[in-house]
Amino acid sequence: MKQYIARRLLMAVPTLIGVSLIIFVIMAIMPGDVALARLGEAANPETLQMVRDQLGLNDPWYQRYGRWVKDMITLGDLGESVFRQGVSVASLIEEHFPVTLNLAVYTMIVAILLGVPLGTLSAVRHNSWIDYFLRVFSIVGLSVPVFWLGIMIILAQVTWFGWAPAVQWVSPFDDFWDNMKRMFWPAITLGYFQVAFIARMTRSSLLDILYEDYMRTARAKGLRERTVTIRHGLRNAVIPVITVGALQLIALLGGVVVTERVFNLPGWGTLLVSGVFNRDYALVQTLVFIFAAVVVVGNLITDMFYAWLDPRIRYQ
Amino acid sequence: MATQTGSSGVLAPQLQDTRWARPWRAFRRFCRQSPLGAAGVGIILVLAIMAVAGPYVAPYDPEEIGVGPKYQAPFAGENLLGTDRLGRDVLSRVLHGAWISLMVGVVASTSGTLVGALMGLASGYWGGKTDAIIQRIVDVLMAFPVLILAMALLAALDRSLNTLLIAVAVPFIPYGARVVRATTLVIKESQYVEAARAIGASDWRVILRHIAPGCLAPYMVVLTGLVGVAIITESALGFLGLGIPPPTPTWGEMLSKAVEDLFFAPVVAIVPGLFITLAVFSFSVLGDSLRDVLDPRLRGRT
Repeated sequence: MKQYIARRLLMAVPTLIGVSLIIFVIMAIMPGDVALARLGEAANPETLQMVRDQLGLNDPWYQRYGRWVKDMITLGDLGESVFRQGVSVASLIEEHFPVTLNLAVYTMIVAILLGVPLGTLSAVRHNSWIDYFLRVFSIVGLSVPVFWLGIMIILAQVTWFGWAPAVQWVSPFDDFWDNMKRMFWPAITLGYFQVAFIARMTRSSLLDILYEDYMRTARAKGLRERTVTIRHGLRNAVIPVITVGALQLIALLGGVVVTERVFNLPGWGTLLVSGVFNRDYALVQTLVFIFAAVVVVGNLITDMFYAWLDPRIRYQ
Repeated sequence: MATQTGSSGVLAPQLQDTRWARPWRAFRRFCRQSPLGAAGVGIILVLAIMAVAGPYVAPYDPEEIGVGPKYQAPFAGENLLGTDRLGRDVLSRVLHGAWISLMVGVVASTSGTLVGALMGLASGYWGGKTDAIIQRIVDVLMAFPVLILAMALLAALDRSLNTLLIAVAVPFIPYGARVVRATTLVIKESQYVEAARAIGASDWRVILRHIAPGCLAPYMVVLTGLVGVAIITESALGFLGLGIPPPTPTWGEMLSKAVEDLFFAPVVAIVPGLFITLAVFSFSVLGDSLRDVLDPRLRGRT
């Protein structure tokens, strides 16, 4: 197991280096002159040159790249935001982090608490009307764009309950219920896709297992059907669900961006959108790297978890 | 009635002679085996007709401001689906938007996965160093969530239809590469490939004539599913204000202002989203059905 972990960790390093290089290249082809954007057309050439020197824009690319990587590894300030002068990229990212974490955690809770039971129900009541209903429910969930679902939820709330999305985010540690009130619908919006996905996976995985020999044996021992399903069936069925589900939760990062925009939440998604709009390369390059790094690390953890659950994986 | 049944009986042997007979029969079998997939095909056809014919049947110019009063409710005035904040006809905008949304979805996912497919063929066929390098590239591209890579590309590129196509296509490269590489590895070992090489066929001839056709089925399954993802990505970019610059109507762009206007013109928010959902739904259902039909091992698992 230790060897497996070491191997996987070593494989993640070149991936992360590749990710950083691709982002750096994309940002390098970005048009426009940062110094010019800051000082305006009327600035004189000497001042422009001074600002470029100050920002390190005149250094060769490997120096700029090296500085960026060094800043990320040592948790430096990652440079100044191009658009919001005097504010460091690191502080912007730090400031917007709690909202995104909050949204992601609630979404995962929604996905697991609803997805697994619904999928189980669907499999156990295979081909009944509940199964059909839940299958339609999941197919719809996989097709509805997150942002449109969010808009529809806001529309329904506004029309029927006179509720409007809150303007500010409140930390759950300051006021838990207020935070719940504000984050409930965003989490449901983002979670629907995940619920649909996990329910579908759980259903098909459990259907494969329900008719295995050991399930028959468990029934023959006289165990209650519920015990058989949960103790013997679900336990084995959730292994693939966990791995694929974890990958899916990573894909949720794209959904985070649009959900935050719909509900006006000041998280990483909103920050990224404003960075892209303002062509704030210093901000965008680091934020995009963090998103990709979360995926790489998430995959790593999933693989290790899977290897721990299923020893055969370790020796491949 | 009797003549009608008779005529269909006559039609069948005629069809067998044409080159479309086999695909037609395969399609009929597909519809029988998977009614849901057939429904997906039907919806896709309707949407495609809408995208192509929409601009001709649209009652107004979609970009013309003030063809009706602002925030006209649907079915009330002369504008069937009402008007938006600038008094533009919603129906015309939805019809025009269909073209961009569907075209970008189909073209971007197809071109992205095709580039990936070529990489996958090379990677699987030659193996060794080629494989190692290409696989590292695939791993790196896979690390980016689709929407976020598209956003990063759009940060660096100008906003136009071409750059939008590129930005949506690039994130799909690894998905094409993965499935084609896996299939290539299997086909490479088969005897007919060995035979082709034995009679002196060049590498590219073996790849294109003997391996690529075998990769088509799994590739199509993956591609069909990804078209839906590309449509969502395009509309998400439009919603975020990063798509094709206004005033060109797209479904995503129509939704971007809809939140502010929710009180005044809910229809502007409802209709484009319904069409996006329908398009994504039909492509993903078709993808699932294709997989079930083409890969019997997975039948009934979804």
